[in-house]
Amino acid sequence: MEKIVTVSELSSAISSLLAEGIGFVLVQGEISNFKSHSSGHKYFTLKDEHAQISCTVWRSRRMNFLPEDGMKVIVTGELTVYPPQGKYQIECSSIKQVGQGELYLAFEMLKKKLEAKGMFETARKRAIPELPLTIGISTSPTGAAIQDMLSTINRRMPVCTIYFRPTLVQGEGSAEDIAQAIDDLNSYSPDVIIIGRGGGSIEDLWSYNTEIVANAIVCSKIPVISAVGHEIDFTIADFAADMRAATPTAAAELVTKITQIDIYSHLEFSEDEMLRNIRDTIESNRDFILNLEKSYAFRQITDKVRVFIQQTDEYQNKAEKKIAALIKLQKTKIQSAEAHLSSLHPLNPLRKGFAYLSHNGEMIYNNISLLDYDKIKIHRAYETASAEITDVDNRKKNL
Amino acid sequence: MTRKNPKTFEEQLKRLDEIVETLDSTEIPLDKQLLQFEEGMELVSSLREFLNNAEQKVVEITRRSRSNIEEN
Repeated sequence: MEKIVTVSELSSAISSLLAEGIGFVLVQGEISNFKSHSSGHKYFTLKDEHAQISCTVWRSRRMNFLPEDGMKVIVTGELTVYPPQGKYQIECSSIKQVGQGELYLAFEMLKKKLEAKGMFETARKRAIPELPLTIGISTSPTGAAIQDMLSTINRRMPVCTIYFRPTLVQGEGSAEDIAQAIDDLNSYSPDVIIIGRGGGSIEDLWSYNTEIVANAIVCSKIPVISAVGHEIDFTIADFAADMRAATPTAAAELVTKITQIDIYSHLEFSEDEMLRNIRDTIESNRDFILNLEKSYAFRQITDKVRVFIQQTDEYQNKAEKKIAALIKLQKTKIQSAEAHLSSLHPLNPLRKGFAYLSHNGEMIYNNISLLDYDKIKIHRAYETASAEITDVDNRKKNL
Repeated sequence: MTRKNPKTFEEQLKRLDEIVETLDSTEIPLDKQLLQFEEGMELVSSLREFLNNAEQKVVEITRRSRSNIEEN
């Protein structure tokens, strides 16, 4: 124990211990976190419920299948040390597929179970509102997902109000927290809820493959969009949700299908349309009036007025003629009346040879006897004579 | 008809679309058309104002709780 060694010396000692003591191995496990590096080397983690070991596959190794996360495999290789990171790993010489991984099987079983319950039925899916102005979001407060969603929504539809429920998205208690988050968000009655997180291994996303989350989605009164992981990852939540988005950013785009710019241009369009319509109406009303003025019907009215005027003129003429005739008639009547009158003049009979008598300028009427006079005058038509009464023969009284 | 002030933004937009459509059909008398036109223009300006004044609001809510902290 007195001997002091360097880190490199210790690391190399461990390395030979592993090589000699364990060496070549055949290990069964499930592939997780598979990454194909641009160099051509491949890295993944081999795991079971309780432990995990890093694995590498050098570019030179040929593989007869494409490893995927969740695959159950038997790895053949050498246990080595990677000194720069102080970790041990299996350098794989071959990988054999054992069948589908247990997690994948569990996923398939749950999927079938919930499918049978009718939880994935298209008929029970709610429509995502076209223009949600309040959006509920459940995701990790630390991941890129929340920033991506907020900035996407803010860019497209800044008018939206976001209810953000920071949520545990992986690890112990995360499934329960996601279910609770859906419930919590429901109490704020947003127009739509997005549950999501960024991509990860099948274990990382596992909470979204649970019945409790699926139930919470189905029980939500608000439409739920599931946006878990990157494009290729499908989860139970995706099937249960009212809509699936490939990524959190895609979900943010889905709820802002109509952007603020769209609305602005729609308002502009509506304004133009209304102005155009009202102008058209006024214009067509004016045309209508102008045409009416020119129309046969309208001209007929003026024609009729003209006829009336003409008729009135005629009536006036006729009336005037009638009046003139009447006046003439009256005139002749007056003339004949005059003639008659003149014929009735008391001196008229003188012309026929009659005469009348007077005394001192007064006519002597029949009721006075000439006995009362000695001198009288005799009036004839063209002469007057003085006469002396000498004898009166009172032969007949009152002739 | 007391539909002059639909409450939500979406309802206002819908009402505006209705008016534009009605005006398009020109089946209504000029005086009614003018009334609709006036209502439509009012909607356009109030909707525009709403959008102009909008800023993203993020309300952070906590587990099983209605109390919230306003941010942004």
